[in-house]
Amino acid sequence: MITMGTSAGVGYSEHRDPTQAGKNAAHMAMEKSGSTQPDFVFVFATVGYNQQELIRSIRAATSGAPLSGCSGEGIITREIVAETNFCVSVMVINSDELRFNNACVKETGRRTDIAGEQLAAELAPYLSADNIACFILADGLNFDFDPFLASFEKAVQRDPPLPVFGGLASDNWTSRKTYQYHNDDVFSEGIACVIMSGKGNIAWGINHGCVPVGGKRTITRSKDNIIYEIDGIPVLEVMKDYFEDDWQNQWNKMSLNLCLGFKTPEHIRQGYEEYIIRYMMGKDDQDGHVTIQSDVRDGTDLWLVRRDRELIRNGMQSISRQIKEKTGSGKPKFVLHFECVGRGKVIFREDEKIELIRSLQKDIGEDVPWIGFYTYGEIGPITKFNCFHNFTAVVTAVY
Amino acid sequence: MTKSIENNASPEAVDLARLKQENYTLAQQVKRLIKAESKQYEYQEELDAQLKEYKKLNELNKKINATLDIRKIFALTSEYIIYNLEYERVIFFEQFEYTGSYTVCAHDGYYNHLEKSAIAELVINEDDPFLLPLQEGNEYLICKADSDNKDLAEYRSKLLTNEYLIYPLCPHKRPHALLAVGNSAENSGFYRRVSEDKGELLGIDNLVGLLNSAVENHILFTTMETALEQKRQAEAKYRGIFENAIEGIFQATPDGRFISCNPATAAILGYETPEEVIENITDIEHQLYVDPKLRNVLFEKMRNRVDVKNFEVEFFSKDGSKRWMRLSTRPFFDEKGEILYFDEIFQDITERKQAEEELQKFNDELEKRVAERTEELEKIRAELELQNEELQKTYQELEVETADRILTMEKLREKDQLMIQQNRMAAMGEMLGNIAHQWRQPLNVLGLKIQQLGLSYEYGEFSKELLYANIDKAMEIICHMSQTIDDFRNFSMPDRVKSQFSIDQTIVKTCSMIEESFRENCIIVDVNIGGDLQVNGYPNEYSQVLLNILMNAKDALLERGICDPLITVASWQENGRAVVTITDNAGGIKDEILGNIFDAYFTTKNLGKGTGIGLFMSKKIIENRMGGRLTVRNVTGGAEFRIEV
Repeated sequence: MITMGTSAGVGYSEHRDPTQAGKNAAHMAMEKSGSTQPDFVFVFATVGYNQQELIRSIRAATSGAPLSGCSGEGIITREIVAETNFCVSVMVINSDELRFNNACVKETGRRTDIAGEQLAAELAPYLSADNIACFILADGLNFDFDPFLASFEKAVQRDPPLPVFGGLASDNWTSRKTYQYHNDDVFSEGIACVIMSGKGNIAWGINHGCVPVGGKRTITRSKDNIIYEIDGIPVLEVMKDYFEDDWQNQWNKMSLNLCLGFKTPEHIRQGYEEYIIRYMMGKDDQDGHVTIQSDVRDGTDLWLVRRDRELIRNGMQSISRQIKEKTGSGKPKFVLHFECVGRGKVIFREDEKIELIRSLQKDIGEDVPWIGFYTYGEIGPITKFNCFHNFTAVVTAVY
Repeated sequence: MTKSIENNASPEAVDLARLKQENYTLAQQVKRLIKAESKQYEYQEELDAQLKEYKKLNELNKKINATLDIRKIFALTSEYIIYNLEYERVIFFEQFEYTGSYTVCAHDGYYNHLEKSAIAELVINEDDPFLLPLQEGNEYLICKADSDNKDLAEYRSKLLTNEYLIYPLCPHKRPHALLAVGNSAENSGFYRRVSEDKGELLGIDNLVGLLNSAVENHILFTTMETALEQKRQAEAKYRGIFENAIEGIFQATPDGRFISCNPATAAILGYETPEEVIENITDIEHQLYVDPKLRNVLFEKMRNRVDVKNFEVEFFSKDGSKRWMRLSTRPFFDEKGEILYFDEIFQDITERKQAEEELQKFNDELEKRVAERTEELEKIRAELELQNEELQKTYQELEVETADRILTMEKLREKDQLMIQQNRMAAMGEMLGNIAHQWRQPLNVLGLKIQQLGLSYEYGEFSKELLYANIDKAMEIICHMSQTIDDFRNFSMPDRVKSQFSIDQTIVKTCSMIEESFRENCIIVDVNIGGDLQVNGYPNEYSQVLLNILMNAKDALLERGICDPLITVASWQENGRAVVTITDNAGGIKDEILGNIFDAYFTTKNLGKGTGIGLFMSKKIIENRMGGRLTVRNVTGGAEFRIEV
């Protein structure tokens, strides 16, 4: 009896022609995996391409294998980190021990609680005892994680909950449209999801690398994921002291340099750092509020935090340790990597950034197929609790 | 936070105030730190992008320097522009030497098949007003997304870009090439925008500087290669001419030594190789020239800068024989104006010279022979003059004779006219005779009818019925006689045009006209016609012929007193022709005159009876007018005339 196990290959292209780029990346992935008919395909690409043409060419090259993915600010593969408007990475997987079933929810709008229920319903046929993990690739401009997770977990009814990993699709700071991919479909304001089942395990590591600047502050007015006031002062008034004069037009990047830290809840503090970080995804000058990607309540303590390159470097090593604690000396079958856009070229020099990722890849294992993208938000469990993160790297190794 | 601490405050209050002050200061420092850090990251990202760009530019420079292939340079640069300068589209135009227009020689960033085809065929005319600013020295043309310049905006659709930059490469009055970069409206958000911002233009400016050098190198290289190739070809051509020429070509010094010579020089002078010539002839003046003085003449001309061409001299060959040469020289002078060396081209014209000499001999011989011949011809001419005089005399005599003959001919013609007139008169006489015969019998009847009226009256037998019966009969006879006149008149009128007519009807009609005359002479005319034979011709003239032959037969029968005179007329068709024979039993025609009876004026009749024209005219009518044949032969008992039409 021949045991195939799992084989994966990753291809990559920066060709400007979407048709050519998709074809090149898919062919490279299949060549590396030795596959002609993949069981499943992950795709991450940046938004400069005509997305539909890109996915069409990948589907054609991978014989119409089930496909899920989303747009990112850049892509990560083995030893390659590209943050440009034109790059695509494709991972093809063949396995007789793992199953990949995909589903999607479109037109979620801001009602992510409903989206959670809908997604659970879509996944219902594939829910089974051997489910290993769920990968969520959601729109990064209109996503509120907490209501989504609550409704999703409630509908799935699993205890402990099914581990959820993933990232929020991004659009290279244009704040116009992110894309999600599900088989032939390319859409925005939706969720693409993959549920992995079968014989296999998953190990992961999560780390941010932010440090508080100044003392504790308190949210004094908020609603769901919107913050109006901190310490009784309009939130934008608080923030403007930290930004240059043109902060209002440069919010996307300015807000990367100053984010919000919340005390990590007691039930997960043991498995995580002292603070959970939130990126201020959007602002409304008229209404005077900022938006984050999870819910808060009035009276919640918060700290203004900034990224620290040294902490980030150390955090990468921590991720490696977290994964290796589980995998031991075993080599992962493949890795999915969700890296915050705030940890890329906006903070590191090109060489530093590449070296940082290479170092992590080397620690996890030589030649391990690796695919990831720069996100507008990361999802990964702390202990058994699924959580949303900003400014983190969520690295998931399937072994 | 700068309010002063009161002097009477407690130590704790002082500490608290100080701490607050420090906290405030610290907070301000943190804010500055955050701002500084933001700025640092921003600069760092820009610096990183620039460093990456320079690094790639450096790599491009190395690649470009490794090739002089302009197409490869443009292809490498296109890739750099799209992947590092991050413009969506790039086109290189190269000037077409012959037309001056710029055609696309490389492009990238156009992925749609139709767009690719459209761009590949794009041509910019050298005199397009669009290029005027570049010809006036502008560094580049820029069309931004919001530009409304008409000329620039027009090229948006041609370049398939909404915003673009065009740089001249090797920017002289006529740039060797043009570089266009730009973005489509649809995708410009994801590419480097076309802007006049110096920072944005820095990358493309640097690249254009690099490209200008590369293109200039390419032009220089191409020009040099072309020049080298032309030189190589010229040398090869010269070498080929030098080695293969049939003329002797050499270089020599004024003191009479060969510097170099070609194989033809050796061959003409009787040597094996050019080397042998150079080695053996060291004093051209005395070794080569049969008359050394001529070499001095030649040199005098060269010193005076006179082009020496087609100078003919005699050279010694290696075997001592003399050969004529025709030569041309070109001297080269030193700074002092002295002849340094000279090129010479010469041709062996010995054979031509010999031929000329032979030709001269031949000419002399020819002149001698011409003189002799001229003398002979003079004699002949004198004889001919004599003959000519005699001929003149003869001619005059002939003229007199000819005049006599013409006079005779005139007389003959008058005679002919007379005979024709006689013939007509005879025919008219015959016709009147025939009419008389035709009328004689009806006149008798008419007389009897009139007499009958008188007698019947005298005898009392006159009645109205008899009167009208005799009037009716008399009128019938008169009508018949009138018809006879019409018949003879029609018969005598010549036919003007050919017409289809019946031979048989013509025979019957002709016979009816002579019926009474023949009956009176007891001549039986036996008509045996063979059917309705139709021919194309002249019916009246044909009838005249029949009448003529019948009348001749009648004359012969009466003259010879034949007892049972008989004329048989028969007709039939034979080989598509209508044949009529008229045979008599008058004893035939004497053999000795049988061949003459159709001659003009030939007659056997008594004087005043025959004209000798009838049969002559009959033959003319049948053979010349109607294309038939009229012949005669003797048959048993008489003569037979045969008419074939």
